[in-house]
Amino acid sequence: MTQLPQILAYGVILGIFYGLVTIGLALLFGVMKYLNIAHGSFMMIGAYTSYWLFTLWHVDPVLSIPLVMVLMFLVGCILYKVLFSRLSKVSEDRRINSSLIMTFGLILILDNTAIALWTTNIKILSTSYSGKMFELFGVRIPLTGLIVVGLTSVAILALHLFLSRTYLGKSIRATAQDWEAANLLGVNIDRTYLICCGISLALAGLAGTGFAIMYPLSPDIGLRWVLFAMVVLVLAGMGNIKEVFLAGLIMAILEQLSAVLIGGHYRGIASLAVFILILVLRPQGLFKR
Amino acid sequence: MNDLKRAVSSIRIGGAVAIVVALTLIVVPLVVDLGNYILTLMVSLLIYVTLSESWNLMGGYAGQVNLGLAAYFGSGALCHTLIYVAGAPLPVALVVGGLAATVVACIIGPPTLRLRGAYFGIGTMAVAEVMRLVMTTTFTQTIYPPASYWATFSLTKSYYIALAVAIATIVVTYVVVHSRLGLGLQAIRDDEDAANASGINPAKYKMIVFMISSFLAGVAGGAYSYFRVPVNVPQHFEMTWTIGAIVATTIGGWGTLTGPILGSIVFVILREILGRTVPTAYLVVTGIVFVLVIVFLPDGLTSAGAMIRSFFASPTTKARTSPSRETENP
Amino acid sequence: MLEIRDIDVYHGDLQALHKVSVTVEDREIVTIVGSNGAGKSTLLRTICGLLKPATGKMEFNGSDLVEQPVHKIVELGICMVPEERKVFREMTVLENLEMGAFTSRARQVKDSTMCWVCEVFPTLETRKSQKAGTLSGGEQQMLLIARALMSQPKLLLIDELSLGLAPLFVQHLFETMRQLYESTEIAIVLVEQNVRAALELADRGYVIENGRIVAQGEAQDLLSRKDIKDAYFGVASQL
Repeated sequence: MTQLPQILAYGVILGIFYGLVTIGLALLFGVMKYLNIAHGSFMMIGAYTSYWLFTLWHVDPVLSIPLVMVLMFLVGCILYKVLFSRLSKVSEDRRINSSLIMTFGLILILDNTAIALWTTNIKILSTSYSGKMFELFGVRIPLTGLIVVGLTSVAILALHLFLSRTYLGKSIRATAQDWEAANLLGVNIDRTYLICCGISLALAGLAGTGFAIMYPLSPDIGLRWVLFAMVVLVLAGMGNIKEVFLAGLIMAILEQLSAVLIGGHYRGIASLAVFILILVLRPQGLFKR
Repeated sequence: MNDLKRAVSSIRIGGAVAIVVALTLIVVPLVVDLGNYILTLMVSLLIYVTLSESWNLMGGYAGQVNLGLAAYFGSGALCHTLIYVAGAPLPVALVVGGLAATVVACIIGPPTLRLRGAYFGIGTMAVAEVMRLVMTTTFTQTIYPPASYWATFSLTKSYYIALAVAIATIVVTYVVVHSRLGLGLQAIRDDEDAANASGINPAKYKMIVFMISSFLAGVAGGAYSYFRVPVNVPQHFEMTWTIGAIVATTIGGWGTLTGPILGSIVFVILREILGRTVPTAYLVVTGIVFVLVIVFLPDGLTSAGAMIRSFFASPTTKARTSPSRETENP
Repeated sequence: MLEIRDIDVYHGDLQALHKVSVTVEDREIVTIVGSNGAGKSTLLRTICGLLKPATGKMEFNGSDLVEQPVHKIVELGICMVPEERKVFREMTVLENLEMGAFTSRARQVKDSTMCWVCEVFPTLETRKSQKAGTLSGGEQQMLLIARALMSQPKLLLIDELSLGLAPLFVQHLFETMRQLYESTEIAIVLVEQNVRAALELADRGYVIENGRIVAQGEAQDLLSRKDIKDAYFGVASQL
């Protein structure tokens, strides 16, 4: 029982990170109803970008964030123009399936290009602050975790201000709720989708940098983490955007608790169990749409 | 009337081609010594055909994207191997493998199939990944077949088992597609609300075909583990099998019988040509081909014929502009 | 102001409008009436750009409409209030109104427009911070019109003003329409099932049946025509 605060601390850090990984996916799905399972692979690309910027040119990962995000934003725009815009004529049901399959192909390309370029050997981004811990009320907290929590908090604030105070942000929310009505008020839906796609991938890039700060890198993290993200998405309620952080917290804490009980190897089972439980009890997610 | 004649004659042609191809595949290896390389290649190809056809049943005909096919392939491989090592005859082991896969399907099927949207995709993917993790920690050693295996094994026998499984899968798929079940599934795929309104129970239909699809994948797993010894259990649960099936079906054309076959051939050819140089390069190229096909030829290679024909069609049918620019278009 | 000449519009393979011609002058109220499925909504959706005509011409103050995407047509000054209650449910009333002024032209004068709109619809003023999804049906309809007005339209298209609303409320809405007509320069095209009320409000009217214009003229004249009275004011006259 004395472990509880420690478990909670790790759970909170992990949970907030889950939220960061998921938020880009949630935005894309909430606004455009595209499910991008390559989201994790894009996160991986962001992570490796930060890694190489640090290893080759000594750019601190935190400082690399603006570059990574801008780069990923552009990639997102290209992705929309080349691929996703083809799906805009498809009905909602089909769109989910079609986007799943389309982005599946992207996983093939991204993950295997990463393997070919950088091998499957694990790479670790070691900065001056990696591995440092500090104590707060008897609980040990990794410094890297704290940094990522800080970054995520800034990102959440920025996103919130953007969506609620700017016209572009409001038009994105409006488009998510009723694209035809938004269109009839002068919103250029194609351009809105384009920007949304860019933001989604930029957020994936940010999550990637955060990942590189906290965890060892390998090309297969994409698939593993997008699975976590999708479960968090279902937990939050598909279509919800801001609720993913709360959902991430809940899932992370559940995972940490079950890891103590069952053993760390079976962490994946906890997420699966949560997923099936939610589907059976409350498929629309914990939070109302 | 012309349409009817054309349909009947196309079935006749298709059926005749199928029989000729099947006979060739059956007879040729008996008469000619094709050598280990080609036989191995053919077994690989036939397994992919089986996997793709089984995936296609769910994905192409029922519109449910199964992202965790490897779970059923692997479960089939695992149970087949355990039963076979324990002394059961080969056909029994294969069937039990298939049933084991169906059991797994019954875990994730009911909660996910009664919902719309991405839940089935996410759920199947989660199941496959979890099973892979569990298997990786549980089966750290490969499993060796019993002594009787070495006495009776031959590559040719492996080939015929894979061929039998593939042909059985295609026949089953054909029967399902043309049955009431199949028609109901396609109705569900095209418009689930409308299908529901006309009395079809989507959850039930989807579940039935899921059980069939997973059974076939499980049998394929068993056939593959017979061929590839010693059996490395976790390898059968890897995502590469799912990827292969999805890529093959999509490139070839989903929702058709010949699509997965065509796509599997393309997939295996790419692997053979490119896989020798840089192993992962072929996957990247496959991915690029995959994306290109989706963008330019969304219904796969089998629709290429129809597209070429319509390209040269008369302009009269193109007179009515833009009613297609309807409300679905942002 | 708006000139539509001989347009044919298809829903897939089905022809919904046959050689329809409609004109709207500045500062007038034109009503389009007809039974269900006659093609009234199709006409409005074509004007605002959601549907494209296969043949024919559409011009608004000299600019061609046929080739323009929806959002550009809105910038030209045409705004439609669609049939379904399409408020942005999760956004507040205030945010809905702000979205109304999305185009750059409207955004510049957003604050003064907002004041005026709140005078016309005082109920909305009191509900400013409420989520639009929690409003009653009638209030949502008011919000929709107010939101459309925020875009500073020169031409307002309204599809089924009175559908599903209590009669007293409908009266109130029609009053508001008259107010708008008298105090602004907005032209209004009103599609309505309530034929009598629509003709009493409008300057001119068009009657559509099966995708064709079967009658047109001054609203007063149409009101007094026997064939129209028989067709639309009888037992089936929706009130």
